Amino acid sequence: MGEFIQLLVSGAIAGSIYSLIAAGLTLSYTSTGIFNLAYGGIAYTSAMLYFQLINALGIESLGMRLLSFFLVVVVFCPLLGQLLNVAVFRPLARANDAAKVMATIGILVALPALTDLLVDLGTKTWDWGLQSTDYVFLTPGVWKVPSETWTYDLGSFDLRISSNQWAVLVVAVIVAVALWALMRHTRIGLQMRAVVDRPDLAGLRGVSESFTSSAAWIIGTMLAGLAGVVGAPVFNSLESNQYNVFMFIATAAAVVGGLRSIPLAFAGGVALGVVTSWVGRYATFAQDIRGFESSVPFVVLLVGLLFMARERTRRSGVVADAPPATDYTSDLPAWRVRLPWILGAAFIVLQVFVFADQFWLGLWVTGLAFGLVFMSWVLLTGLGGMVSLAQAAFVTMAAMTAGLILDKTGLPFIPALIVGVIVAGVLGVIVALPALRLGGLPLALATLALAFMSERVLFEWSWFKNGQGTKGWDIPRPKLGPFDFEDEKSLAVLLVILVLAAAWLVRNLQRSVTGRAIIAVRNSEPAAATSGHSIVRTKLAVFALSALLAGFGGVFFATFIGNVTPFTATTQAGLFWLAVVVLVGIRRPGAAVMAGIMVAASGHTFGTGWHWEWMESWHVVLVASVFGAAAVATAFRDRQVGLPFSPPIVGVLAVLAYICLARVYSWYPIDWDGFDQYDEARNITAFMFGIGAMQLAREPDGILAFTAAQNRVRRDAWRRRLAVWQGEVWTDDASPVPERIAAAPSVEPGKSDRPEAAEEAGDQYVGDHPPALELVNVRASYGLVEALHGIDLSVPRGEITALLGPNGAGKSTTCAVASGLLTATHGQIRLDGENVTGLRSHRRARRGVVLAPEARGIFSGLTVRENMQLWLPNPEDRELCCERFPILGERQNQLAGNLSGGEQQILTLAPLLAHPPEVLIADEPSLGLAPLIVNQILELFIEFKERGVALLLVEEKARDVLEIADSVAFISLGHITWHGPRSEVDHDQLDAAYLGEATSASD
Amino acid sequence: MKKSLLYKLLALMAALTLLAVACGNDDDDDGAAAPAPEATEAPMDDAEPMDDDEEPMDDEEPMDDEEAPMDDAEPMDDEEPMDDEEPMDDGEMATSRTWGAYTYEIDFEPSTRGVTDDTVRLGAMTQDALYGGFTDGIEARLGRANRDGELPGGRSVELVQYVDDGSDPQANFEGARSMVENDEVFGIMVTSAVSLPQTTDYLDENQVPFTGWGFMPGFCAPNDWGFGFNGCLSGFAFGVEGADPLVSVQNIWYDFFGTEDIVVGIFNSDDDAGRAGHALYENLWAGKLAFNDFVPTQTAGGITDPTRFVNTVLEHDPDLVILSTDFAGAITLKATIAASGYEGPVADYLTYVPGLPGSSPDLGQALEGGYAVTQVPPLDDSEPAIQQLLADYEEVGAFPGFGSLVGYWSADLLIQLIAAAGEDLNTASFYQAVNIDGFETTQQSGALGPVKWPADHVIAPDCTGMVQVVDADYVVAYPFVCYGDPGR
Repeated sequence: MGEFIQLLVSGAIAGSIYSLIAAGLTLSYTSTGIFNLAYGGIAYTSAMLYFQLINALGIESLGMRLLSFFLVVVVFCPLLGQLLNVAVFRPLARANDAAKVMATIGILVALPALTDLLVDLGTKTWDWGLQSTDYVFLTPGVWKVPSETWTYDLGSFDLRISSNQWAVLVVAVIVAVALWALMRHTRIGLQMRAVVDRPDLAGLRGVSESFTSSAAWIIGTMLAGLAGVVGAPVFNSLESNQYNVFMFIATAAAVVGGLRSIPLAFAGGVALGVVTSWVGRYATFAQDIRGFESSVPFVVLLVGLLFMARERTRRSGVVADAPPATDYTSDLPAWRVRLPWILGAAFIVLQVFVFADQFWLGLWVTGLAFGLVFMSWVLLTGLGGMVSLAQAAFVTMAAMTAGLILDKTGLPFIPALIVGVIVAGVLGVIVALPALRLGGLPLALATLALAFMSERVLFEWSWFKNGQGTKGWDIPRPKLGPFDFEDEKSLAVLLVILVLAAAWLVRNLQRSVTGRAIIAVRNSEPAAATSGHSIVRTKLAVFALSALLAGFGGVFFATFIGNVTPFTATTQAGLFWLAVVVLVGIRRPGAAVMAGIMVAASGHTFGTGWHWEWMESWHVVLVASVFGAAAVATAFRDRQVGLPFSPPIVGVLAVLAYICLARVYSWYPIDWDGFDQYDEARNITAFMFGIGAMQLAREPDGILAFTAAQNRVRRDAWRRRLAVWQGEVWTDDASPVPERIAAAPSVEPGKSDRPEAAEEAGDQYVGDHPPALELVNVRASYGLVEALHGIDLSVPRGEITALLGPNGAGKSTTCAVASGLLTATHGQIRLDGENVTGLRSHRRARRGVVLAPEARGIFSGLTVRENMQLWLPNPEDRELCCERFPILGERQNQLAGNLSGGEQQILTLAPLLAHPPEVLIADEPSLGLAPLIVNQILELFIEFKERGVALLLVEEKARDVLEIADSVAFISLGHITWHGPRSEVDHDQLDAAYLGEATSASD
Repeated sequence: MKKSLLYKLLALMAALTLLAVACGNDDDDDGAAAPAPEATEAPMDDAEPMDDDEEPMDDEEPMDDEEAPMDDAEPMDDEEPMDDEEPMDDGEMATSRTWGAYTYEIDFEPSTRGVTDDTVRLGAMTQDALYGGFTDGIEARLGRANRDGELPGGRSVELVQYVDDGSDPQANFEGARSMVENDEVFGIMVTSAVSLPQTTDYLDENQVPFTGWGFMPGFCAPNDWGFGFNGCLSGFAFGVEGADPLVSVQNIWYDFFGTEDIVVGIFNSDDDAGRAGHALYENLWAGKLAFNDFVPTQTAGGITDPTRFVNTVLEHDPDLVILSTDFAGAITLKATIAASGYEGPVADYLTYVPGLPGSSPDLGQALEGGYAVTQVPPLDDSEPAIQQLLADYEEVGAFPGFGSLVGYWSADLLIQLIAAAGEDLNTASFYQAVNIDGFETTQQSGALGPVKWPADHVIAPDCTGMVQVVDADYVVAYPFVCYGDPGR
């Protein structure tokens, strides 16, 4: 019993380190929708920074240690969090799940690589006084150095707790209390919870989503940093991959909390620590299963995810919202579109047949085999919309099986290859099982859990990996009939053929009936099911096919290196691969091949500093100037033709320039006079590819499509100039380049892109008092579908304007545009005559525009009091509000979602009465309410009007509103068909508004 | 109009490859242009965060020595009962030799790769994070070889390439290929836990001799180009008969306690080496084991909560605790077991790293009083070999840290092997001299035990020593000793 309790205590202390990360994961996931897999890297970076501060400054006193601790956690971490927020997370807010997962993997790859590179620089090249981290297995604690252990005699047993453990305990308790206080008792906490509950509505209530997400990232990063600094001396680690392991364990804790509840996630972390300790001590039956203990968290992760899936109502693939790939080359002739690919293929063939030496042939073989492996992502993610982090496991599975078959049965290569690939396919089906229930992030996490479990248990099974040790299985190069692929050249030729065949197959699959079925399932499972596609079969088939392809490539990679061990393709290496594929493009087979070649060649290219003795220094300086000039030119020309600055491209060019110069002047890390720098090259490439993946995660076609789109913009610009020169009219309606790439000129406040139209519209209201809210020739669209085709509407203060129209007329769109939820593509929105078209909803809310959206403007997950608090931070105002509406006072502590419809509407409007807004827009305020309640609500509106508020009431049912409105506008099919005083409304007009759309539609 | 990035990449690749081809042609005649080896800093300063993958150390923790084969009357090389080699007459060369199950003969085209009239080109590869200073040791030893003209024919040795694989198996493989195909080295000194069979098989197939700390399987038969400076250490892990390297460790403890009547407790890492060691300990210490348990490896997350292991020690209170774990595990357990009040010796196989206990207060406290069994001779400056070693280091201004010592002994072995091939150096003459004619290192007192080939492709010399940390410094607790037949 004594030991049981000892393990409970010590396990809980270790577990609270996971809790810290898990709380950060949950907080930022719920606030922003991004599950930051990079917290491991952040924890590592913080631990390293603390370690280096202590050592570089020779700190020995407790005070200075605490100061360093605060520097790392309170200064560095918030800055890092905010940097990541601005550079990566904010632009990702509206991206699809797959892009979010892949972007955080980019950071996970890039951040530790950068840290390692800097530590390398600081110890080897520049004298920063940093300390080598060789043999750093005990990092300094915060409290006592060296650490001290106390024994507490608890009667029947002793409890030993070290100073480092105490530090963890104290930090965990403080954090738990502080988080609770922050979320429950501060305005920022309330706002964050409001954003989690209903992001759009939070914006309408003046909560800035970018502010709350900054806060979430800063807090999350601080928590990860804390975990790193206090966790390092407990886990005795200063090694980046190990922090990734901790982060994946924390992921399991976050899943225990359903990815929603911070307290549960916190408890989950503690529980995982305890369970791991107990399993290690009491599960003696598992002593014979290697890796059992360390797999426990991943079992928890997997089970938790499957359990969570039962509660998920919406099932879908990951990229359900991803539009089809845009064809930026539609303006080019077919030969011109294919030319780069043909040249690329010809280049590879020429290399393989003619130019490459023995060494480079090896790199080509590796690259092409990786290309096959990476094409499996084209199938699974590019086509199927599912993110798998287990592709490396399929590679190992197939290669190890093939090796085992070759060794044990003496079968020739082809049958062994087939069996290996099939077994990988079977593993693929097993990994796919969670996909039947999960999509998006949970699926990615489930594949990760399965990959780790395979790696730790299955691949370490001595029968499967050829005994204890790292001997592995030999995989001789194949001999097929008269063909002998013993030498690199014939193997490379074979792979060129296989890669071309696979690319052709994948391309055809994308266009086939099966491909369409996959897309159907990805976009909408229910819809696909009703149109006769078996979801189960389709999903399993995609996963199996993808695993087959990965395994196929894996066996060829193994036959080139001649041997396979569990280290041939590790899960962590697989994360790096994914980053590279994302960077180049995840939808095209050609991009996958390019990514494969980049992975294969990067180590040598960067590591050897381009090892060509015949090059004179001035040659290299010349090349550097060309790269540098290209970088500068890209940066400036992009701006000139209206393209945004493209960090990946400029960055790559700049790095190339740097490497050339470094080679001449022996700058770090390409020390030309010394030896090759494979390790540094790894860090540089990991950093570059990681950064690239972060930037391009949103563009499913990666750098290729990005470049194609840029070129399209340039071509269009040239054509425009040409047209102007020839005196023709140029229309760019046909250009498919999306805004984020083309950087369409935004409508700036005070400017209008059609001044004459605005003036025309404005003429009606010439005078000293412009209307409170004014829409001038506003157009708005959802994607390619335009919903408003030029609306003019004015809402004077102290008046009620009713906007009437049938279902689908554009009423809600008008509300959304007026309140800033949707940005107008054309025209202006003015408040008191000032153009606010460019302002987002929370900024407009702060200027007095309030929308009570359809289906109640309340946060159902917050209590009634908290709902009121968001608009009325002052308690006295709330008291007044409760006096006026006693029902709200009575139910203060209930969740708003439990109120009746009428009560919810009152809760929406009542707080506004205390501080009336300038403009109140109510979208279908009477929908679904009993007549008695409706009257109560209408009285409220009259009260608003009397207090000078400009009201825009949007209704489908005209009767109630007509009684109180001062003026009425009819909207139909995105046009205002009539606008005038209520007195002039007659029943014919009313009928026409609802029935007359047939005439307008036929126009 | 601006070219697209695609074209840029293609153009870049074209340029790269064309230049690489050009370079390949040039390489043939520019051995002399090879850069001077990099003189790196003191080994402990070679910062590299501990890197991924496997802890290299735990792959070798069961230490050398194979008294067992002797006990089992495994035919020893010395008597050469298994040798079907003809007694050598002057002028008559044996063309093959058999040792145990393996036959050695020249079935390849001789090559003079990396050999010119006056130099021999060599390469080195390690994971810098664990063997920082590797090249310092190599430079120290190569420097002496060149000063003293140790190679026949007046050749000098030159370290032309060094690869830090960053614990990445792919980089290790590529680095080996690059050194052989681009740098054209004759031999390589390599010690890395990611020198997987893909690398060592490649070196073997291309007749590239490689020396190093032989804990990876590539240093063992059937490979005949791998030479561990203390033989093949991992043969036991895949069932090579008679390769049980833990016997000398048992002997040293019997000697230490002055009795065989002791009770030991052992922690093994939960990985290949630990699982194999666990089985060996069960036999070796049968009847004397208080416990023989597993601890998680660092790769798998490490020991997050050492409480239960400390409890095990206190509960059984053995005379001796052996930590057969990875580095992080050894230090974590040493620190916590010491803090718990256990008073017996706690020993591991990895923590003899000169300079380590003084490097941080935490480490000093954790290691103080603990023991480390070592395969690399301790720096006992009363020994002539160590005096020589320290003098060699002084010449290059380096500090003999752990990684550096591994490099030093790897270089020492490779130079002796190359010298044995004589003036007419090529891969065939090397193979003939070492594997067919038979070769034994010559050492001053205090150095590694003599190593012999072809025997030590299969087994390991049975030498071991022990140090203790006293006042944050290592002192020799038991001198480096070779059990069994010292004349092997």
